[in-house]
Amino acid sequence: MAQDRRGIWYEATFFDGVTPVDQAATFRVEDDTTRIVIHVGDASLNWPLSDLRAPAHRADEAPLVLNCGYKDARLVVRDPDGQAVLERLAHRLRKAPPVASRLRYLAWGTAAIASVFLSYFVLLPRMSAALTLALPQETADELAENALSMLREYYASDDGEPARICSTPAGDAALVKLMDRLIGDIELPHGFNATVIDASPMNAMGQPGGQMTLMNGIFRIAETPEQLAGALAHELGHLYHEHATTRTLRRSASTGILELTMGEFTGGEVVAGLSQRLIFAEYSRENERIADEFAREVLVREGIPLSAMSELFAVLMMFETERTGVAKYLETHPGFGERIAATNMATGMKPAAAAEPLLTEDEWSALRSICE
Amino acid sequence: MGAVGALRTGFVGTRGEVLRLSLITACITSATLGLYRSWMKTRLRQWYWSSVNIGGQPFEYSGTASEKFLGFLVAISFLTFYLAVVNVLLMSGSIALLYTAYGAYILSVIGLLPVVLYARYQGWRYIVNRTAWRGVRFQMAPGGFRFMLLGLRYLGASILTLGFLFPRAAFELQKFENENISYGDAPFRQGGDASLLKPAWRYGQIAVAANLAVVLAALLINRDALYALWLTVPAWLAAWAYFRAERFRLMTSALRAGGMAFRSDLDAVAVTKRFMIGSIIVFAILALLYTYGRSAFEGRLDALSYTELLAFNRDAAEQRLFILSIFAYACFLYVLWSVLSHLLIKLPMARLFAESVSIEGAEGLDRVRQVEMQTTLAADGLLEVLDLGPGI
Repeated sequence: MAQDRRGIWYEATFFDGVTPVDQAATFRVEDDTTRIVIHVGDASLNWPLSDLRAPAHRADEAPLVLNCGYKDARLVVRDPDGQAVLERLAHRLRKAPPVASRLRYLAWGTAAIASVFLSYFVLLPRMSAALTLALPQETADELAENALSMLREYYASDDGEPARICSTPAGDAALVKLMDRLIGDIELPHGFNATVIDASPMNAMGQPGGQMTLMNGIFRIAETPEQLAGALAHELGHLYHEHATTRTLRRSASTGILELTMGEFTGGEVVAGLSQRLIFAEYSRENERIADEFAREVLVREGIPLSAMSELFAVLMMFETERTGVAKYLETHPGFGERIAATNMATGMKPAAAAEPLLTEDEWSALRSICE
Repeated sequence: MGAVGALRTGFVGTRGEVLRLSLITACITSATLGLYRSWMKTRLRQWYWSSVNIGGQPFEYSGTASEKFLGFLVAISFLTFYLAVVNVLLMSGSIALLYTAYGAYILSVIGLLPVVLYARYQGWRYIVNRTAWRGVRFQMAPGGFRFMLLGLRYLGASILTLGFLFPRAAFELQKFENENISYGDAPFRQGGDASLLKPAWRYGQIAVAANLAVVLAALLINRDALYALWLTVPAWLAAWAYFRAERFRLMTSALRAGGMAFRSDLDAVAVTKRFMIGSIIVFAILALLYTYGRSAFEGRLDALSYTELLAFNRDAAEQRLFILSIFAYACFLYVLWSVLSHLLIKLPMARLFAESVSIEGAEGLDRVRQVEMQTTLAADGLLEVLDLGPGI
């Protein structure tokens, strides 16, 4: 730092932006504070203060590295007083270079959102469904077998034995008769197999590879063959669309995509996890609606009153816990209230033929007691 | 007046500064659901670059957050599509052949490998092209696609030989990158040959073998053998840190550019020690807090009686509060992780690596000339989303 009649001169190092050779320089701020004057050797440069730029952050011990209007030449200022003067007077020192084109940001921002949306809601579900239906029969059989044994393990008895498969000649015959009637001439993608297992839930499941599994508990709520038919026709809908395998495929294929976009280990992870669950719950509810609709068509075709279906839902509704708020969107099934309403809406669908009873009294009681 | 003789590197950044900067930027990042990430990285890079100097002249990082953010948007646009298609094909293949999707989780890593290699090169290229010293820019030539092909070939060979060919692969890949870099118009030339890194990999090879042995034992004898991974995986991490330090020292010491010769006297054992101590502390603190938080939140739901649960299921305000508190806790963990990893790992590593380098024949600087800036760079921040440049 030196003073002459024109003001205070600060020491600095100058790089011309062409070679990396350092040159000793001095600079001072012009009295009208519009520019700095730099002396390098015999040359003199004028840099307007409003064009001076430097990176927004630097280590406390690091020198201030200035440029003029993002050009290549550099003035490296080590003198703390020189730094202080520039920090005070060059008010656009930290300004980032102008954004190339706002339109590009808008375009790519839209593309990014569209890509995430299309991948999650169009590409993944469609490809999963198409590839699932194209799986070879051997794979489907293997998947069906695995799914059934996993369910039996899940409902294992207290001594660890997998849930028993229930079978009696009369019960099996009744089940075959009922299912033949429901399937009619529908082509299922991977064949069909029905199994009753000794488990208490009041439920039946459409599993991968054409496997339908009834849990014994379902006979406690289905009072007539028609009510049971409503539930089984619904599961048939899942089998027809191979919902179970499609869901597995879709879920595993989407692993990591949202996390990738939200990045690292952030609160974003929580948001990604929650969004993932919301998306899948919505997808699952959609599948249930599709299966319900499929069931209604089957029942109408066979001349079975749709009221049988809503009666069953009404019984099940008593066991339902109501959810609202976020919890509602995490449900995998639509509420029974909604499903009954949808069924009632469809009661306009008239049975195609006069109903012939699905099962005789004897057959019905043989089926209900298949696990005894 | 030109630069003369040998130049030493220095590092002037301090813990207090990085603590402040990482704390502020991490807080904004988590408050914006990660959108601020590009700005956070850019601000920290500017600081780290300015901390490193050679012969007293600091590095300068001129990348901007907005172009990095654009790269992020571009990457998302392509990557989600790519991942969705590749994943669904791999998973359905896995289901068709193995009757389960689990096999494909490993395969999906392979599906990502070409992208990772490409992104690594592009990430480096972006950083190199945004780095200047003494007013002259570094440049890295395009080559992401060739790097990807090279990487697939060499890494494939390394995997097939259970790691035996890995030092060769690491050398060739690093050489490919280094020789595409120039300082102004002075190209980098990599000396040494493919056997250069062989001694550096000896611990790595042992650690790979140990991990494989554990997995094999678990598959063939007893699943409980997997617990041994708690020992062999950290051992592998240590061996990997050692290898990276040795690779840096050996390759830097065989590097020349325009009459200048680089040297590094990096102490790989010191690096390994520092890295492991830092990582273990960060991991232990985070794992503890994560487990504690998780069980606290789950415990809160489990503690509800049946009627309370029914009420909770219907109380939207209560649910919102619950989710918000989970989010806030996750943010807290992220901020803590960011700050600790800069403080205990990234800063000490940057200091050790930077301070190890010296340049001989600095007279060569006089002959270096600036090269015209390539203008097509903005979109090359592409795939920075995978962020495979240096950890900083």
